[in-house]
Amino acid sequence: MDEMKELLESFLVETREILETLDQEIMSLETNPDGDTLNAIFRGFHTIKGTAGFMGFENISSLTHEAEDLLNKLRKGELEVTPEIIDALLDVHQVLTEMVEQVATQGNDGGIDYQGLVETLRRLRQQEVSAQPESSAQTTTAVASEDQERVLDKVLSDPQFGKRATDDFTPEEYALLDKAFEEINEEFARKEETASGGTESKKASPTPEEATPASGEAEAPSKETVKTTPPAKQTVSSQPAVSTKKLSASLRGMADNTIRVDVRRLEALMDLSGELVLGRNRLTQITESLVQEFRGHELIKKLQETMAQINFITTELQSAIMKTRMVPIAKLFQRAPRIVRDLAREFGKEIKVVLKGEETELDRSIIEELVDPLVHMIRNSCDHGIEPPEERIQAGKPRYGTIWLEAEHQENHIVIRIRDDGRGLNAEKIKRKALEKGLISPEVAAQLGDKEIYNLIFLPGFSTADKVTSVSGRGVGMDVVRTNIEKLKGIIEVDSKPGEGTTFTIKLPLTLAIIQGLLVEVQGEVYTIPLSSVIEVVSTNDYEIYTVNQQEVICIRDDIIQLVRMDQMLNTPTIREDLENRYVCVVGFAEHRIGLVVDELLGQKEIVIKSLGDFLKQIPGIAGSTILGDGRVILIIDVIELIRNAQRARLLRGSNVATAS
Amino acid sequence: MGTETAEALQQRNINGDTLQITAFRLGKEEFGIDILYIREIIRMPVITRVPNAPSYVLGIFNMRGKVVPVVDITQRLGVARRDEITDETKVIVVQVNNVLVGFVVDAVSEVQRIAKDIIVPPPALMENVNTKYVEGLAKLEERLIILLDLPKLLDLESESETE
Repeated sequence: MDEMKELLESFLVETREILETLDQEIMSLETNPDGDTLNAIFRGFHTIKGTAGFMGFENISSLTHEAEDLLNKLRKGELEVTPEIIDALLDVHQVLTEMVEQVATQGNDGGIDYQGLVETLRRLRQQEVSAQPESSAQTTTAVASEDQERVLDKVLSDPQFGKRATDDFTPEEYALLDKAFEEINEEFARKEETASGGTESKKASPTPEEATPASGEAEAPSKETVKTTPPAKQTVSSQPAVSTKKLSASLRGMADNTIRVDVRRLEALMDLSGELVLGRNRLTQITESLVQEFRGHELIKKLQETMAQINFITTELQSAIMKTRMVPIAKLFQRAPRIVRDLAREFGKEIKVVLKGEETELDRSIIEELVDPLVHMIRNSCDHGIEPPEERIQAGKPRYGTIWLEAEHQENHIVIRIRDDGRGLNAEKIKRKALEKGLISPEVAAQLGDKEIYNLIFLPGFSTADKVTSVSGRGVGMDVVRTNIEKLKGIIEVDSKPGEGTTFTIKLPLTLAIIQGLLVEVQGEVYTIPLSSVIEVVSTNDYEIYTVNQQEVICIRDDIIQLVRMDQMLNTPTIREDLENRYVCVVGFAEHRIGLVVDELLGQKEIVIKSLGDFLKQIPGIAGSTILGDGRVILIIDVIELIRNAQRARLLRGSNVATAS
Repeated sequence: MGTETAEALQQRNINGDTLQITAFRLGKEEFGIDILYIREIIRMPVITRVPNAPSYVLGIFNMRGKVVPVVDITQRLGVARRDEITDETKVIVVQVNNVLVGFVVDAVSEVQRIAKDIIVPPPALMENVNTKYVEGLAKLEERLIILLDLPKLLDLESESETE
């Protein structure tokens, strides 16, 4: 019984994995109907068929069988890849996913109707490739390669081969050989490109204008078999074929060297390494005291050396453990082309997706939390951002819109950008909506800059869509995105140019467990501010501080920044009134900045975040705690909450901070 | 020791004829709690104040790498604690329903094994103690040990409702 359960478990894991890559490969087949992709898809279905058959899931196995037959025709070049075929394959994928999930929940794959789909597959399989030579490049090459093989075989097996001069070949043989070498060369070139890892992957896929209309033309006079394609068939979600291929190739290569590990084990390791860091910090401190006291002692030197070594190893160990939890962001990005394709069809738009930096790695738990926000932003771009083709052409833009998904590392952060070349945000409309919904006061509205206005879309209850569509405009949206991002200690910004497009930038920490903290003193108590939020620290003596509408602000260069007195905020036993010789830590997220008034700066430390535990749960303004090298517990300031409080107060109070000077 | 075994032991303790308790002093009274709740008894540690926390929360401290909150239960019990912290002042760290929390007592007297049949239910009213959190009274020769209902005492959500 247990054995069966184990088998089922591994069937599910394996099949889900295959389905995940299949989705990608089918998508990329649309723009790159090459043999490699076809073979990969065929292999995927084949494996599923095999294991499902073994497990006795007949529905899965018979559906994959049908898909396989269709793919076989494609592989042989007897059929051409059409949007309809892609649709059918995606449908197969969809139904298989449902079946597999049903296996997971109910233990069987029955009850899901797929007969219609099987018929579609069969009908598609019956279609013949059109006779026009230009459209049947696939066929000719395939046929040719069979011929080539034959000729090559013949030539190479000829014992006289070495002695024959090239001009002894018949013209026919010559041409075929030539072609064969050409293809071999191409193949090499492609391999090389893949190996050298060209980042600009777009070039491998033909642009939509080149690809689709050409084949459409060719189809026209042929048998009316492919004519059922819906009007949106030109929609091309271009998949950067090379990089995906590179990725799946590298993943396949990795497969032999990887093992599956329960995430909980990794988490336990992570916790232990956190404890180790604490111990190391403490040890460092003790060593420092010893050095002070027994300077010059022979053992002290040895202690210092050992300490340095332990230091180094701890850091290395920690980053090594952290790396075990890292997953390439491709896992997340890969969903995009499919989503965009479906949405583009729904809206009658033409949109392609360009992915960049999919190999960028980040913490697994963060990836999971990013799924919903990302999907939501992509939907937003498709729905509100990208214009319908006619509108784009009128605006002098290409027919098809583009959505870029980019990821890159910046120091200890990962930056993810979702960019489109659509119509951009309408500042006036946003402002009007925000006023209507009472999210800002009229006085404030008059003073907000464009960028500040754009950021209003993140306020809860905001939605500008005039009509409610199935994907957006229900008033839950960007605020959920922001909440999710903030939960990950990240920040999100939006920028837009009317007519040129919108960019969402998400900045996230690589990991959530260990951060750099700035230690500060407030009326004798020590707190830490996450360094990632600190923009700069200034002395109160160097800048002008004003009071506007009972709100203290500091003028740093051209910025007017709202001040928060930390002693008041933290209710310290004593409160200091004056602002002599104190410091202002300017912290921020997005374009929001506030200044935290503290008494002393104590330095910077790597800290392990600990929760306050179930007993205390949420404490306003406090994000957690950490243990210092000397064993003291100190609290971590929740910068984002402080900023939001300040911002909320300002938006509703309508203070004149923006024009204070 | 896994929690299962702890619970099993606790069960046996309740079902058995005797109860093992730790007795401690708060003000003039002597209290007792089931020994199986106790994780650690320590001297008054360095406590970090937690701003904006409920008033009964004294702060948090570092118990060998774990951040543990410390509360003052005198308010709730309606007893007065000694003002000054002495060598005798202790923090008893307990684990109730998987939540770690410590509370300050004036002194820890001893571990007692008491016979179940000497425990009597608390009277409806007691002179110095809020009986809501009292499970029973154990009368020993010259002493009266007030047995506390720890889960109820530390369930602080109900407190915030009444406040």
